[in-house]
Amino acid sequence: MGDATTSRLLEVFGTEIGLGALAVLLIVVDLLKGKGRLTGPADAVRLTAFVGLIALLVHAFTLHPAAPGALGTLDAFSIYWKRFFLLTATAVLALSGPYEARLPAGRGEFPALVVFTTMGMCLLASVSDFVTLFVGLEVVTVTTFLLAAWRSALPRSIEAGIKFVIIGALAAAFMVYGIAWIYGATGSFDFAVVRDALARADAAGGPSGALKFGLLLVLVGLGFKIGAVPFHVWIPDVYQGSPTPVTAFLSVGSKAAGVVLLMRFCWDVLGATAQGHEWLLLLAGLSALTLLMGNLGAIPQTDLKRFLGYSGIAHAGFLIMALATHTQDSAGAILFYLLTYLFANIAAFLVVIVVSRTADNAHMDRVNGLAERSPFLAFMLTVSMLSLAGVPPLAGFFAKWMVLRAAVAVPELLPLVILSAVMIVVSLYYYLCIIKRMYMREPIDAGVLEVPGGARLVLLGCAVASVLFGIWQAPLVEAARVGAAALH
Amino acid sequence: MNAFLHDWVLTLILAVPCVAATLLFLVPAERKGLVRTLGVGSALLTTLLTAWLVFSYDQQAAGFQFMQKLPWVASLGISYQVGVDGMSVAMVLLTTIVFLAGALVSCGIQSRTKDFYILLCALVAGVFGVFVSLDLFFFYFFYELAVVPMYLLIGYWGSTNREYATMKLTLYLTAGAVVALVGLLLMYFTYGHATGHYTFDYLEMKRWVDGGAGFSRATQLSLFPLLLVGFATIAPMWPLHSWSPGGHAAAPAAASMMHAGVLMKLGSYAILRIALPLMPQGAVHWLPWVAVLCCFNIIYGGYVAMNQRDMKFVIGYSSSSHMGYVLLGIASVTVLGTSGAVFLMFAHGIMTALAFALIGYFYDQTHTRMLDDLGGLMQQVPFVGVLFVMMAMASLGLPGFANFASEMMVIVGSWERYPIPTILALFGLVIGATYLLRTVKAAFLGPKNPRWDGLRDAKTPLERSPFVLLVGVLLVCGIYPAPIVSLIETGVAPIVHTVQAAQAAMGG
Repeated sequence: MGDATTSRLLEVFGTEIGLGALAVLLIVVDLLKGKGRLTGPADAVRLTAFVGLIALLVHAFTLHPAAPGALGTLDAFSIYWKRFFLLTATAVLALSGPYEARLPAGRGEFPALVVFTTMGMCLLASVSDFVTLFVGLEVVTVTTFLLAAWRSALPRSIEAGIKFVIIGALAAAFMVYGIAWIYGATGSFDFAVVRDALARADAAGGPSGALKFGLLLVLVGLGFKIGAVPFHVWIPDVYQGSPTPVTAFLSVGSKAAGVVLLMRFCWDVLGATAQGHEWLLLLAGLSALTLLMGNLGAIPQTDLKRFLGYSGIAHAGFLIMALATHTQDSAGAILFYLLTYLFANIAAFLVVIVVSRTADNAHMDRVNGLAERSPFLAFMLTVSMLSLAGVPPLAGFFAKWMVLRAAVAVPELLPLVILSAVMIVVSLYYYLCIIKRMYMREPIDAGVLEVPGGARLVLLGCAVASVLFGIWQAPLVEAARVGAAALH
Repeated sequence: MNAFLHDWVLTLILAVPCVAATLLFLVPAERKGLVRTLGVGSALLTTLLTAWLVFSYDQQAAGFQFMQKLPWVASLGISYQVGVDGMSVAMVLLTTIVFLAGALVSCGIQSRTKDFYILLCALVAGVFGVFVSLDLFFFYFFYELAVVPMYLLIGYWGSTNREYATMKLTLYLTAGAVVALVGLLLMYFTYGHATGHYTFDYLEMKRWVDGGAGFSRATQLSLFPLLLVGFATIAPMWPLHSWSPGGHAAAPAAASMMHAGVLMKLGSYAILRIALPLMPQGAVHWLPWVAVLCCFNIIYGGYVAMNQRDMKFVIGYSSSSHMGYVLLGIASVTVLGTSGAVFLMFAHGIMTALAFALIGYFYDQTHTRMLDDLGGLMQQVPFVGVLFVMMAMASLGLPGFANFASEMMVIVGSWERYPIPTILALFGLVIGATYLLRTVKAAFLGPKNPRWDGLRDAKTPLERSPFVLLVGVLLVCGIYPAPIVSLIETGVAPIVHTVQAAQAAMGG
C-alpha cells in the first residue's frame, strides 16, 4: 500500500478507523477487567465507550469535505451522517444504562458491538462503490444480528435474532445478485461509472434490461433495510423481541443507514434517471404502500415496541416520498427529518425501558396512568409522540412540512401528497391514543417510577432539541441543505 | 417607549402566553395559588397590550399596521411576519377578552391546575398567532398549535363522553388543516413557479394578486375549495360540523369558552384572510355554494338545538347555527354583510363564552346539565340566572346586544344577493328564540326545586368578574357599535372590493 493510499484512507475513513480502534480497546478493557487485572468502576467499558464516542463526535464536527477520489467519498453529505450515527450510538449507549440489569452475560462486549455497528454505519456514509457498500452493510447487519439476540435466555430475543438473520441474509442475497448484474452490464462497481452508463443509456433510448434488473434488486435489498413495504415483515417481530436499546438502534441508526444508501443510490447512481417516469412511479408506489401499511398497521398494536416499529414503517413511507420527489429540497428534507426522528424515537424508547423495568414487557398498559406515576416521563413521551405525529411547535412538524413542501413541486406526486396528508391524520390518532393512556387511564401498576439521572438528562436533551429545532429551524435547515447539496 | 411598543406589540402579545406557559413549567404543581396568579396575570398583561393596540390602531390609515418582519428560514422562503388590520384587531380583542374570562373562571379548577393553565396558554398563543401572522407558514404553524392542546384540555378535564369527543374534534380539525395545508403549499408552489420567487410571504402574494397578475382562473377554481373545505371544517360549515357540539359539551368551561368563542372563528377568519383576497375568482365561483350550505347550518343546527336536553348541546348546536350567519355574511361579499359577519364572530364569541362560563359555573355544583333535572334555578342562583337570561336574549338577537346589530348587518347585507338564504336566515332567528327561551324556562324558571337548595351563587367580585366583563362587552358593543364596526370595516372593505372587482371582471 502506497503512502498516497494510506493518507487517503486516513483522510476519508478517519472516523471509522477511530471507531474500530475504540471497539478493540473496549474488548481489551473488558478482558482485563474480567481477569481482575484492571480495577475501576463496574461499568468501565461503557464509560470508555462513552468517552470515545463523544471524542469522535467532537472530532466529526471538525471534519471538512475531502477532494473526490478513490476508495470512498468524504463530502458534506457523509460528514452530516457520520455525526448523526455517532450521536445515535452515544444515545443508544445512554439507553443501555438503565437497561443494563437486564443484559445478562457479556455486558462488556455489548458496547463494543454497538461501536462496531456504528463503524459500519459511518462507512456506509462514505461509500462510492458497490463493493464498499456491501461490506459496510454486512458489518452493520451481522453485528445487529448479534445485538438482537443478546438476551439469549429469552426465547423472543432468540426468535428475533433468527428472523433477522434469515431476512437479512435474503436481503443481502438480493443485493449481491443485483450488484453482479450491474457489474455485468456496466463493467464497474463505481457509482460514477454506473451513473455515466445510465446517462448514456437514457440518451440512447433507455438502459438495458440487465442493468435495470440489477438496480431493481439493489433497491429491494435496501428496501429491507428501511422497512419499505413489502419488505417490512421482519420489523414488528424483531423490534419486539430485541433488547430495547437495540430496538432503538435499529429503528434510528439502522434505518438511517438504509436511507443514506438509498439517497446515494437515487442521487449518485441513478442521477437524473430517477426523475424518469418509471422510477418515480416505482418509488411513489413503494411510498404509498409503506405509508398505508405503517399507519394502518400501527392502529391495532398493543405492544409499545411493535407499535414504534409500525410507526417507523410509516415514517419510512414519508422518506420514500421525499426520495421519489428527487430534488435538492427533498434531499435536505430527509436529512432534517431523520434528525427529528432520532430525538423523538430515542426519547420514546428510553421511556419504554423505564416503564417496562418491573415487568420486563412493553405492553401498552405499562404507560397507563403514567401522568400519575411520573409526570416527567409522561410529558417527555407526550413531546416525543407529538413530534412523531408532526404537531407544532415540535421539530417533527417542520420535518413533515419540508417533505410536503418539496413534494408539491412535482405535479405527478400530487395523489401521493394527498395520501400522505390523510395519513398524517391517521398517525395523529394512534399517537394520541398513547397520550390518552398516559393521561386518561388508571395505572395498572401503582407506585412512583424512579427515573435514573442519566435517563432524565437524555430525555430532557431530546425534548429540548425537539422544541428548539421545531421553533428555530434555520441552523438545522442550513446544515441539511449543505449536506444535501453534496449529492449529485 | 411608544416606538418600541409600536414595533413589538404583536410579538409581545404572542409572547406573553408563551412565556407564561414556560414559567408555569418551572412552578411546582402544589403551588396552585401561584399558578393561578401567573395564568390570570398573563391574561391581564395581554389585555393591557391589546387595549393599547386597539386604541393605537389608526383607522384613517387602515391597512396592515404594527408590522414586524424577521427572516426566519430564508432558504425556504419563511419569514416571521406579523401585522394587523382592522379585522384582526377585532379578533385579537375577542381572544384577549375570552382568555381573561377563561383564566378567571378556571380559578376553580383543582385537579392538575398547573397543566391546565399551561395548555390554556399554549392554545391562546396559537390563536393569537393565527390572527397576527402574515406569513403562510407561521399561519399554519399557529393554526395547528391551537388545535392540539384542546385534545388534552377536553380529554383530561372534560365531562360527557370526553374521550370520544376530544378524539373526534382533534382528528376532524387536523383533517381540515391538512386539506388546507395541501392548498397552501400548492399556492406557494404556483406563486413561486410563476414569479420565480418562492415565498410564504402573504403580503407579497397579495401585492402580486392586487397588481393584476394573480393565480390563473383554473388554479383559483381548483385551489379555492381546498382552502374552503379545510378552513370551513373548523368554522364549522355543515356537513363538517359534527365534531363541534360534542366537543363543546365535553370540554371544561374555559376550554368550551376558548373553543366556541375563539377557535371556531379561526376558520371564518382564515377564509377571509387567505382564500378571498388571494383567490377572488375562486371566491366568486364557490361562495354561492357556501350561501346554500350555510342555510343548513342555520335551519338544521337550530332544529337539532331545539331537540337537545343537555344545555351544552343546546348551546353547541346553536353555535353551528350562528356560524351559518357568519358564513352567509362572508358569502354576501358586501362591505355591510361581510363586516357584519366579522362583527358577529366577535359578538358570538363573547356571547357563547358567557354561556359556557355560566353553565360551567353551576355544572360544577349540580353535575348535571340535563334540562329535565334542572328547573327553578333562578330562586337559588339569581345572579347566574339573570346573566343567563341576558345571554339568551343576546343570542336570540334582542336589540341592545352586539349580536342584534351584527345579525342585522349580515341580513341586510346579503339580502340583495341571496334573497332565499336570507329569508331562511330570518326564519332561523325564530328557531333560535324558541330553543333559547325554552332552555331558559326549563332551567331557570318554574317552581323552586328543593334538590338544588344548596347551590351557591356567584358572590365574590372575583367570581362575578368574568361574567360581568363578558356581558358588559356585549352591551357596550350593542348599544354603541359604531367604533368596532368602523374598525372592522377598514379591514373588510379591501377584501370585499378585491372580490367585487373580480366579479365585475368575470361579468357576473
